[in-house]
Amino acid sequence: MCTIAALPEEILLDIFLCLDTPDIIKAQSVNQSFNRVASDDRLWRELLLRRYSELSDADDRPKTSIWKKIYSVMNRMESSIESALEEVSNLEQQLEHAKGLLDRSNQTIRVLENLPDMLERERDLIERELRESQQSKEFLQTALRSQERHLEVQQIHWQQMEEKLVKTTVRLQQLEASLNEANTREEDQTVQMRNLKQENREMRKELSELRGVVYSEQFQTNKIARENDRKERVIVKLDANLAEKTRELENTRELMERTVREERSKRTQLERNMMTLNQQLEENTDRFNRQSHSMGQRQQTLEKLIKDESQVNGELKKELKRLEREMKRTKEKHEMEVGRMKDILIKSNQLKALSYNIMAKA
Amino acid sequence: MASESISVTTSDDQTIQLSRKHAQMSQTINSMLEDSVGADQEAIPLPNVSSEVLKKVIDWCTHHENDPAPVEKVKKLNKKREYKAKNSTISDEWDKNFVNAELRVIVDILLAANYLDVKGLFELMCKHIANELKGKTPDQIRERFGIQDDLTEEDKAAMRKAWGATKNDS
Repeated sequence: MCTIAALPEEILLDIFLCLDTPDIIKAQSVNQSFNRVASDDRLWRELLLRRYSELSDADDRPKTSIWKKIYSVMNRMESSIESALEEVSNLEQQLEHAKGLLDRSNQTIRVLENLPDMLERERDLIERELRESQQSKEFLQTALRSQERHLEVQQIHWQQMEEKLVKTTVRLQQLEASLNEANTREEDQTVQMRNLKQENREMRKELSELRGVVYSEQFQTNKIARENDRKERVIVKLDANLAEKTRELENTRELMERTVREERSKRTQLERNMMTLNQQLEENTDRFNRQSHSMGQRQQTLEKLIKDESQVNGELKKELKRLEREMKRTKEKHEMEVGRMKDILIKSNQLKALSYNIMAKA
Repeated sequence: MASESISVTTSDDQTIQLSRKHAQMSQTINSMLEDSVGADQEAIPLPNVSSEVLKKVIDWCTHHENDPAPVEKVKKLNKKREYKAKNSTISDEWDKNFVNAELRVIVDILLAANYLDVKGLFELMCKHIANELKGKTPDQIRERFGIQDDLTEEDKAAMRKAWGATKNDS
């Protein structure tokens, strides 16, 4: 399989330079080659400069300057993390408080939601009572009407009786007149008269009895009428009572509805508050995580940079020492060479002088 | 001056003609031409590039022949600025279509662009592969590119320690 695993690590580094830190962190755990490239200092130097552009102008200055800048950036980061932590704990407290408030308002809403049902039940009860009292009122009215009818009948009967009495009286007078006429005549007529008187007494007794019946009927009728009046007054009172209760009920209901509405709006507001608080908390936690994560990254890189720098420094010192030693050796060698050359020169001069001598001799 | 057409020999022994303008977009060929000024123009051997890949490279050069020359990085500072501005977005529609190829071909073109030193093409390929890596978990990357996980437990433990457990794969 021909893949990017076959690419030279130099080219991989160029590819990684096109990525951002999170992707590089993920890519480094692919395999060892990726891990090596993702650990290259050139890459992290670029990432650091890309992220903290304020460091970049320090690049051409002495090394101490960049470390100071890195230190100050990290210092700022740490203080911002601390303040974010504080904010998070504050928000948590606020959230707890809001939760308590929400619970309380939920309870109130439950109670208020049950109230209309109770009121409804009470109203039904009152309506039933009213219906019953109206029925009894109707019943009493019919009873009153029948009593009146009965009274009328009794009165007619009475009038008839009275007419009869008047007639009887007239007849009696006639009979007395005829008795007076026949008084002297017939003893039998006296007996007849006595009998007639007897009849008259009986008739009167009957009449007085009838009168008594009429009076008692009248008395009963009056009693029923009084009863009727009392019941009507009770019904009127009950009506008023019902109207008042209904009004009261309406008021209470309105009040309840208003309270429920208020509680609901309070509750939605609380929920909204809680949501924003939650969101803020999440954001802060997120930010905190991101910051602490980037801090970790930076610290690691910085440590590595420090280590590398000190290593290079040691190596350079070693190299310098070696070079100095070599130079010393070369100098000595050179001086020896010069000495030898001088000897040779002296020798050659001697030879030259010898040859001149020989030539002169020759 | 030499002729307007340059011939090169590819790894599969094919001789391909390309215009001087396109050839000079490769810093490698350009320096070869400068070294051999006056000498007989023989075909330039390119032992690391196949004819299939070279044709792709020429395609790209043809489309980008009128692009402004890449700015010379005289100072370190300029290079850094370039990195800062670097992102992996491919803005050219033609380029987007160009990189829509098999992974094998992409890697070959990347290697060729590196060898021939065609700056723009090299960057385009790097960006494309970077986009492929982006947003993937280590497992997804291994699956996409057929890479074996040869990290030891110690390596993984070290990374977990450095970057936290969540950054590592399962």
